[in-house]
Amino acid sequence: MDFVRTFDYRKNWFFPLLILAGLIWLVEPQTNIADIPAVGKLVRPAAGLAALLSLSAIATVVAALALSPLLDRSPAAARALRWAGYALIIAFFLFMPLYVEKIPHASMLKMTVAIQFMIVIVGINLLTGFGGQISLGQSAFFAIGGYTLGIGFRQWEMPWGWSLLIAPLLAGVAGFLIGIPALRFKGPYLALATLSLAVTVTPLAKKFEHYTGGVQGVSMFGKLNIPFWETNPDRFFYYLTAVLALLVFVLAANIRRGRFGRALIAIRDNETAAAAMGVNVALYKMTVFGIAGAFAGLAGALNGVVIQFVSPDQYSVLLSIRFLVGAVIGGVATINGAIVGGLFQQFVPDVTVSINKSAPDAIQAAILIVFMYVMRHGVVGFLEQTWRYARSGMRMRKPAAAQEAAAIAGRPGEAGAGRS
Amino acid sequence: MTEFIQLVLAGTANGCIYGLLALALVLIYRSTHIINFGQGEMAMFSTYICWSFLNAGMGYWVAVPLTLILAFAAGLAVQRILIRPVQSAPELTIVIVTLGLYLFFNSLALWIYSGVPKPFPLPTGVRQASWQVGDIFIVPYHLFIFVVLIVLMLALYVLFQRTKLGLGLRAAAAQPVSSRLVGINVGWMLALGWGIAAAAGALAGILSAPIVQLEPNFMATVLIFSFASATLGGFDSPPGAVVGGIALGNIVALGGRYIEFIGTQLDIVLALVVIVAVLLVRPAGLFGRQAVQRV
Amino acid sequence: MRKPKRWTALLALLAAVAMVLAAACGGDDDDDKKETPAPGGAATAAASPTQQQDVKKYDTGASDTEIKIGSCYPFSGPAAAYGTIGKVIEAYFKMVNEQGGVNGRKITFITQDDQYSPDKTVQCVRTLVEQEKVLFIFNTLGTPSNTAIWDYLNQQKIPHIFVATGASKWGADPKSHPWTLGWQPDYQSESAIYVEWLSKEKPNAKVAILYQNDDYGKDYVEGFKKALGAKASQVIVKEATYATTDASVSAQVTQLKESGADTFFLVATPKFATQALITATQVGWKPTILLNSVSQSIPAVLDPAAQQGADLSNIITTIYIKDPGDPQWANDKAIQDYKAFMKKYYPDGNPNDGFNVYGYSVAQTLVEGVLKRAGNNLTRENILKQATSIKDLRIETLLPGILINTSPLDSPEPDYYPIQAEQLAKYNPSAKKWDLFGEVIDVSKKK
Repeated sequence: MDFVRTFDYRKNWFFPLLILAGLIWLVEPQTNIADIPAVGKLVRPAAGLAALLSLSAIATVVAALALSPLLDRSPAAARALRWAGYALIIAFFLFMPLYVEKIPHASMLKMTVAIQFMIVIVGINLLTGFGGQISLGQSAFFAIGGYTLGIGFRQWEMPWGWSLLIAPLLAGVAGFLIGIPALRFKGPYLALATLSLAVTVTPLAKKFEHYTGGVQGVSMFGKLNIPFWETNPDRFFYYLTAVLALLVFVLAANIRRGRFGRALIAIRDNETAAAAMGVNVALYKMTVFGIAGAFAGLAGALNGVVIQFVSPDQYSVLLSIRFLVGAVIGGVATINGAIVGGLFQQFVPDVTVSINKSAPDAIQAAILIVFMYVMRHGVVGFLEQTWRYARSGMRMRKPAAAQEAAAIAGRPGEAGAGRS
Repeated sequence: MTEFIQLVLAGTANGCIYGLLALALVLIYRSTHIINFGQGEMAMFSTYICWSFLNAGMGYWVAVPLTLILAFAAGLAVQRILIRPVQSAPELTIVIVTLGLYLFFNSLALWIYSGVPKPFPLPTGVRQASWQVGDIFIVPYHLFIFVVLIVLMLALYVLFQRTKLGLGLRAAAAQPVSSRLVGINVGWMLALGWGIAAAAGALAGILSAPIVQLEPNFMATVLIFSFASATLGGFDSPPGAVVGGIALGNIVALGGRYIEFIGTQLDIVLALVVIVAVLLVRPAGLFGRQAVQRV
Repeated sequence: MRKPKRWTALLALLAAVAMVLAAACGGDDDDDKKETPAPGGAATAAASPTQQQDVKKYDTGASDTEIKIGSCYPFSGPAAAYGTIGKVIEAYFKMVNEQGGVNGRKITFITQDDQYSPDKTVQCVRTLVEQEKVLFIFNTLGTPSNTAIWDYLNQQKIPHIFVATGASKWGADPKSHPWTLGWQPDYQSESAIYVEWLSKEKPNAKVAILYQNDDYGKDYVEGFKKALGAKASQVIVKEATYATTDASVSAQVTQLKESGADTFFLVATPKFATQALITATQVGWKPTILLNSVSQSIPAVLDPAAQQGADLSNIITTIYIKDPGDPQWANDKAIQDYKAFMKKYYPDGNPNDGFNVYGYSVAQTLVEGVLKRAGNNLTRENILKQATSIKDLRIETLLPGILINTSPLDSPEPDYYPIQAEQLAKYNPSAKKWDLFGEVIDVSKKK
């Protein structure tokens, strides 16, 4: 019981949370909690989510502690471990078609769209997480991608493959140009400027109906051909999306680790200081807008190809918000967070609807707000933090208590688990 | 000519609606430096609360002040409970929390009140029928809103520029640490800012409802316009919000009519292009103050 | 160690580009190549037109004990107000199940949220068909959403019936999409009724139109122009649009008034329709108003407008369904049954919400007109057959005199518009009810 009293709940909150949440999750079906109006049905899923998060935190801690001796001994091992981690993630997505049916609410098509979301979110991570520019306009670049495909199909019978090359180019250039006025704006003004971009897409697409098909949209069902060797279009597009996503992730990781990333972070943290140190702030800002735009454009074209339909009303401000939310949930200042973010935005709404058809957004909003308290650096940010915490000597007991215990025992600075 | 004047009146009336909510946005920004994306939905929810009172038989001039007081309290509560823990977090975190508020209140209102629009009355005492001056028709209620808007704007201006409380609010937002050192209770200043903004938002909703019609999305549509108005006028300037709103309403109304190519399809695009153009020249908005940043 | 990373990146880049180029070269748009995977359901022996009701035949989604039906509704997002249709239909099926089901089978209604976005609708429908393995798709909502899915469903030969939109395209060309069927009277027919009324009552009318800038609004306007024919450019003096993201339409209505029109064709959803009615009176405009049927609800539109002093003495609309908020149906048995149903099975719902009585009626149509008649032959083909061979079905929540009729593709005159009758009505502001006048107009004859 002394352990319970001196346990550092603040730093190690995931242990007791797992026990508590796990208990609730297991016991709830036996009780009548679900019958409580309005909130009853939320209890079990909430407990499940909490348990899942604590479990992943503990898994990270265990992994960190177990691998610590190995990692401390050689930096090569650390690198190997990182590559092993990537290999695991890649394998997960590579073999997805084999087990996607077993995941609830999932299908190959949905997973493909989730990966497309991830592509957009990686762009946001670079732009907002590392660059510090909040953009509510990514849906506009997504729309450029979708309409590159749609207009190309409609006007010139352009084979869809070309749109995958042209869309990121167009969207990237658009992003780069948007970056110019964005230089002048800070904070809420930048948010409005990018928001304006998102708002204007729908009316413009409707106005130029000669090219875009107007409100009816462009239907491409059955007209998008796949190479002769592939019989399953779902699978083909899944792998195409996955490979392109991998490319995007690698590119983004390289950007982040290189000089570009360092410049971005410098700009984000203190623009004036960065400028004073010779960073070409304007160029970097415009370029990162361009990159984020290009990624979103690519994802938009892929989305159009997979859904085989584009229409003006599906590219709305709400879509921009969903991208941003996904990025933040995953961890906006990480690259891998995009994976979590994409999966979250694709699958969580289905789960919330199955809990409560009348107010699913309220549940999602609640999740969002709670995340901002508990895990404001996102899931991946949190896990990275936890890993570093475990690796640098985690503390099971409160420092004051440990010292008190040591004083009582008469021995100075008893190590135990306490290394403040 | 008649058409032009009539359109200006319509545009100005719309502009006043945008300006009302924009004032609430400016209020929050000035006192906490936060953009509250949930402002519209909180205003909408307060309006529904007012509707419940009116539906239960309460008189207009009793229900409205009561709602404003409740909204004030709710704003305070939201700041203390939800915003304070993330006050020192990066800007993005707070943006997400306010977006969460937006989603939450929107969904909640739809659930409780259903999507069917509900009738919302004019203030008792305000004449319903239009005044006719030659061929021009003036709506008394629009004039009423205009007057309230100006009064509110002046009140806020006076509050911020001429009262000690206002000074405290501004100081707490700009320099929390220094403010604490001189004895300002920063925590309560911020909460107060939210409370007043929530009340202003509720007022905006209550006044807009007879024109826009009360349904769960009615303030969401106004929000984007209000956001644009505040940006145009300057996010830290109450007169800016009003001027921005009225300007925006008129650009949309007149541009939609007189520019063939724009028409009613692209009127919002025109407005946003104009605003962005203005911002290029004056990045802090028409009346905004350029922030000087310490390195 | 940057070099290995750049090298791997380069490799990945080459691989991806190779794939994409292969796709680009392989991808030219021939119409004959097919897109989607093979259907999941077993095809049944079609042919024999004789009654086979006692022989049990099932496609995926049907069994001795259940019938699985799927649909997608916007339960979240800006169009979430329409989500109530999904909920009321669910409640209706619950009631049917409690009363013993259909021919001894329970209806399992699986719905998912599509947020009114066509790309989500596609995902929703594919999931329903491929993972949930429903028998057919019912009452999916929204014109763009349905446009995005009807090609797929028709290719897979899955009944796509009673879609929740009044666009005329669903029944216009049955040969191109034989598996898709609408339900409510289509918008273009409604516009044609107004044109006919105008030519009789106000032959020299000058019309100004306010419409929502999307598929629904454009369909009404197109129908109106088609019915006017060559006179369209003379009769229509001004058009104005609005978007659902607009706050208020007062500027547009002002424009319309100043055009000098004496007739106002108002194609707007409830909130905006109320705004338009109020603004028209406020700017001193007293036109004859043609109000689209979407916004004829008295509690949702006309009452709020009246409260703000709008002049409602000259409004015409067409009606096909009874409005629960209209006092003339207060003692009507069908409406009373509906209200009792709402109280028992969907207490959270608003009984005065026109969407709810709509959902109730379309669900009833499905059960009475299609499922019960299908008997034990629950193949997709038979479901479509029953849906396209409805004869004089009477649903009591529809106006008296309106019968549901369809006839299949292989009949001499295919009829893919189940409800084609409406009646004109004029609003009575003092009694707060719609005064039906004239006869029930059957527009099928005009097609």
